[in-house]
Amino acid sequence: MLTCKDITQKATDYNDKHMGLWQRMQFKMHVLMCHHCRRFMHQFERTIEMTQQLKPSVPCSDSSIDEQVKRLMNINHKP
Amino acid sequence: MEQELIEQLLAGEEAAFRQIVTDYQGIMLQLARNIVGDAIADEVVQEAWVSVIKSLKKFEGRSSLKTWILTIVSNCAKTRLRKEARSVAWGDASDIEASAVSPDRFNPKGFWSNTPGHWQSASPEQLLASEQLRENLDKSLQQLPGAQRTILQLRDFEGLPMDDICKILQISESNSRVLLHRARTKLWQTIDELENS
Repeated sequence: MLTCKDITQKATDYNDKHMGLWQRMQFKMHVLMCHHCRRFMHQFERTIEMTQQLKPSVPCSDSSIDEQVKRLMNINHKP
Repeated sequence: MEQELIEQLLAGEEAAFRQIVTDYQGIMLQLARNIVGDAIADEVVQEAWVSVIKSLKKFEGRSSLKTWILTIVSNCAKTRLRKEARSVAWGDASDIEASAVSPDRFNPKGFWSNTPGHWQSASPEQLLASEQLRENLDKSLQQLPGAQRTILQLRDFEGLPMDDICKILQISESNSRVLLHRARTKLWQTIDELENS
């Protein structure tokens, strides 16, 4: 029988389907019976979906892209 | 599609160079910063670009172009750390142990004692609409240990498969899974604290 602590430790493996069939069934059984863990899993999944929507924090300006393109084309022309 | 891009690069077509710079410069810089820090990340990225362009003919397509380029960045960054005699430890114990759900939230039998609270905002879009939440998430991201932050960015921002992330960072799959889980848990805690404050 998995505990609530086990559920919080295995949430990523469950979400990424990195779990054997038996482990997955045990996990699902616990979540079905425990509304706190159901809430935790729901929130954990929302957290992942939200992270996927966050944009990387290194914006590149048009001028820095132009500069980099020129630099790379010069390297490419060198023997 | 990628093969076509590589042929255009080898032929020296400007549009192809523009495309790879637009697609990869940001994530290359982010990865370099996570490994070597802000001060020399730019230099590492320039070294990596030189390697990418010079080795392009040897690219065999065994991984995606993105994974191949990021592996070169990671190698350049780690080589740089070694040259400067700085530690190249990735995914070590301190990275792995930090940021699990606090043990205080469970009773001795492992069941919740301090249960997860109700979140006012139901969807990721509603959550992200809060400026304070975004700020707190940014802060939490910056405070994550480097390996955790990198894996989260590669997996959840960039959508790379775990196998590719392990190749890029040269760490085991089991470690990378633990690191990813710790990072996600830290972000869950950040939202949980704010939603229940």
